[in-house]
Amino acid sequence: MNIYITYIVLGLLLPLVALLYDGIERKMTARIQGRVGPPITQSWLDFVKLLTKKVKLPEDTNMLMLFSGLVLMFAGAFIPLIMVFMRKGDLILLMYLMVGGTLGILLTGLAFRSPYSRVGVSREMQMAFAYEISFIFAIVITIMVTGCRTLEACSASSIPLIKWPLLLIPFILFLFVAPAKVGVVPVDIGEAESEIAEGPFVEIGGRYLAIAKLSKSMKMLALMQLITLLYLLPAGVTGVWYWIASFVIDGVLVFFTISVVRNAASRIKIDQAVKFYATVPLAIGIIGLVIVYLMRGWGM
Amino acid sequence: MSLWSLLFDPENSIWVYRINAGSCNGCEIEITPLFTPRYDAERFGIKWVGTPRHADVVLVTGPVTAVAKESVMEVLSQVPDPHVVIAVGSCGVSGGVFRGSYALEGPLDNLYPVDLYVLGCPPKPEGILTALLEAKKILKAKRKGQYQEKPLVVDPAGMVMGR
Amino acid sequence: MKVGVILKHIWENLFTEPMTKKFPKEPVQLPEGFRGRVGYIPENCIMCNMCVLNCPANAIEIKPEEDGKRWTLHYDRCINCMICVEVCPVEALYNDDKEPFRVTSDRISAIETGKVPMVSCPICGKKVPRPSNTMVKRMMKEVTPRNLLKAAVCPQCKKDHKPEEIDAIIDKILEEGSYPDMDKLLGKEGLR
Ligand code: SF4
Ligand code: SF4
Ligand code: SF4
Repeated sequence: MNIYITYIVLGLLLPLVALLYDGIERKMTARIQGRVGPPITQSWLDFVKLLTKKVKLPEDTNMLMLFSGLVLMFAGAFIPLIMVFMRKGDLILLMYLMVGGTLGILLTGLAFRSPYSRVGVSREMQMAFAYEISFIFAIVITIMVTGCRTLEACSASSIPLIKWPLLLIPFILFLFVAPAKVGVVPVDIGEAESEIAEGPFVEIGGRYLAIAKLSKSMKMLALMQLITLLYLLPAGVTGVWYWIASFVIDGVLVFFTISVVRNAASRIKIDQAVKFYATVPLAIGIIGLVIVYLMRGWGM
Repeated sequence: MSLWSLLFDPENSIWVYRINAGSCNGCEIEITPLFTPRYDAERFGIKWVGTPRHADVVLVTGPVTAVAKESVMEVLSQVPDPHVVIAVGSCGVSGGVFRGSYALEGPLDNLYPVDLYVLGCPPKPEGILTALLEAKKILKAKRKGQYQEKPLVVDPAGMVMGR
Repeated sequence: MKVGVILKHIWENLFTEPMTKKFPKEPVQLPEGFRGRVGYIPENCIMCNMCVLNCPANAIEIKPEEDGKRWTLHYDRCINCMICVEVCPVEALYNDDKEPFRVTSDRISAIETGKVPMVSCPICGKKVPRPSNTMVKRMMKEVTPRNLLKAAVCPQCKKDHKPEEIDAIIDKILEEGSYPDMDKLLGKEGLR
């Protein structure tokens, strides 16, 4: 009984926290650019605003596709978010769910005939092919090094990255993948706001867009918490300290992997991005996999 | 700002879309600084979006030329309610120096109800920012359904010269 | 290295004051020679039509009314070029940079207007336009009721009477206070 109440409370609160993190990220971006920036509740305000707006959709919208896309997108962000914060669930399942979120974006975009959304979908798909493989590599290497396939089993007495130094390989992979998976500037090619008007989301508005934006923030927080959980947070901490530590480390991670990257680089072209993700992270992944496989003999 | 408005006031989030209806680009050059560090409209929750479906406020610059008219009307019809239309610059407001040209389909308010006018050629970025902040109040009234769109009473001779 | 430079900038920006202007709280800082609103002083205007002819946006119009002429500037058309200020021969227009921008929901009433009324000639009572303050100042150095009255004498009377006679008549009028359009002449009414 108690556990259900926890889940309900978390299910209601964590999306808010995710929106808050999005706001914090926007504020930090603004400060990096030397401006004042919006209040940190801005993303939440945008969400509230979008809920109050009327929806206008093109007449030939494929509603089935739109709804399934939105549901998939939401599920691909919401369930991982709950899983990583509750430290319950299977890593492989988490991986599939997060890839499913990307699929949701593609489905949403394909529900419309707009060329912008088609271009966005095609770019998003190319990006997904390029970076999801690194993401999968990162999780596989993590499982191989730590030997735990579920989130709750990954408990170490000290910081995982120090206990298993080989985890540095998937950690670096995650840092490469995070901006692409969240969709921020150097590699937000699918949803380029200024170029193809948010790509797959170009035609949706109102509450549908609210769900899409919420999913994006939740995906960011879930990914950050996953990195925190797998590599940075000693699993021994529990209770209040667990929450405080994870939120603080998440914030720092958001700053370094999203805000700094976003402001230090300008958007690259799709072929550059695909070339990059198909070489550097993939090479690191394959070499890492080989190293880990060979090192297993020595009891690492 | 009170806590309530920081948390639940939908007016604190305004997404702006811009239409160029044949302007000389002077007004665009003055709108763009709004989103730069110098004027930073984002501190009021004002964000620039790339599609009319996300927009709350539409800034229209330029006199509506005959070529642009169809696209402008099409785009304006795609903006979901509630929305505010702001005419920026003398051209957008009345036609400015181009008033009376055979290539114009009249200023925007001949074709679509305009809520706010920013006068000047081009207006200062502060003027456009003031209009956007003013648009918050109009949006609020429109959400409550209180806002009456006043039809513009113009004497036709004063509007478009030579018609 | 380039990355180092960028990271240094990021670090610096994070811990320095943002460069954003605190606009709605602090007034706008205007540069020297800023072209703001056009202001109109009907006391100086001689209704010469120069501004109407030279305005590139046709923003100014002059319309006759029953007693005088009305000058109107439509701000919704004005492009703040200040050509009218340059061409006005009597400094009736000026660049008012106190109002750097204007936002309105009613563009039709965004106007600046003024009127030059008709006053009667102190000698024959014929209606003449009110003399411009600037012209009076240029001709007689000073704007006084006496000089204004002198300037309001109609051309025909100026031809018919000698200057000493005109002076004597105006002295008499000033003593008796019998001039009917004194308020209009002094700019107290009928100008807006
Ligand atoms: S108002 Fe002036 S600056 Fe703006 S588009 Fe028209 S001519 Fe250009
Ligand atoms: S400033 Fe220029 S546009 Fe405005 S009234 Fe004077 S001449 Fe006309
Ligand atoms: S404002 Fe100046 S230029 Fe215009 S009619 Fe009057 S005197 Fe002539």
